[in-house]
Amino acid sequence: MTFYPDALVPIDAATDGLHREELAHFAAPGTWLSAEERLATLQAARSANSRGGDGRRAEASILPDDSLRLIEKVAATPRLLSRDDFARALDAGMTAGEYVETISLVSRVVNLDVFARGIGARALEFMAPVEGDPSCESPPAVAEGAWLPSVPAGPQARQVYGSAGPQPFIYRALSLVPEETRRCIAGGNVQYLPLDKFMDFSYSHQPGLSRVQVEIVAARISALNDCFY
Amino acid sequence: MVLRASAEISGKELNLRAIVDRDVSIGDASGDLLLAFADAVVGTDNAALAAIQQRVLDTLGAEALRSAAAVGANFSRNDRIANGIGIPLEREFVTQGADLRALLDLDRFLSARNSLG
Repeated sequence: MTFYPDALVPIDAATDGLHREELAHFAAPGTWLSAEERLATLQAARSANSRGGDGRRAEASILPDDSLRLIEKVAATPRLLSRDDFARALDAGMTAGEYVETISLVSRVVNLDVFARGIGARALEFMAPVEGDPSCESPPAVAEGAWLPSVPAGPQARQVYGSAGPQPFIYRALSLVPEETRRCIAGGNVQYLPLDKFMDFSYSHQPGLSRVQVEIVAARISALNDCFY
Repeated sequence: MVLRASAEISGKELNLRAIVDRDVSIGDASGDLLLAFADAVVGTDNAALAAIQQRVLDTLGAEALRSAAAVGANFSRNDRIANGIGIPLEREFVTQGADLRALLDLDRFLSARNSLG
């Protein structure tokens, strides 16, 4: 049975499976955050995004105010994010790994919620957090031009990206937390296209839409988010 | 840039200014519909979204609606990661896309600082 029984349209097995994995991954202990902290992050992000960033806070949270402010901004007004937000988060005591994991979780739950809205379905319910310790996986990373170090191409990259070859910066962005990188790549492979098809500009991985039509949606969303990348 | 490249390969002449200016047509009816869908899916007007969803279903079909939702969601995620981590655009794209950036006035984005300094 599909994860989206109330959708306006049938949902393919690949997307259904991907989103099942996303929910299970959300509920597990993370790399730097506990499962409870991850759930609180997801709830705050969903709440902020669903209200369009009106600045109100729906419920109490186990997370500190500085973390909640960051989560709400990433979820609801990503066009306003700047290096100052990153600096403020670290000044408030967040580690680089926690920052990356937070950005990723917020972005991933927005992905699920926008998809659900797009197909006319209710947002998926989060699963109960699973007990356990964060993995603290910490790959060798270097400064490559982003606010945070990332894992470059090379032998050490295979564990992060599944390939030692060059990766676009959108996949290297989260590589300080490899597990979040792997989830981002898995999502892109299903909901956009596999990386090895990127430069084939006549290829579409999305049934019912040509590549041009796919890129029109992508470009407009990025314009709405003021995303230069 | 990928949109321009894919349009060129398919032989479509698009007015890319429509990506940032919704008062102009992109020059393709299904393209305008997908632009409206993108606006609605990340907006908060449920009635407007329902109307656009029906138009996509009627015009492009069920698979197209699912795919448009998937792509819109995917880039909603990627944009937040890009803006939240401060990643720069790959150098070759900065150079190659200068004319398009000027057309769309993309350098005004706060996130442009991450690539242009």
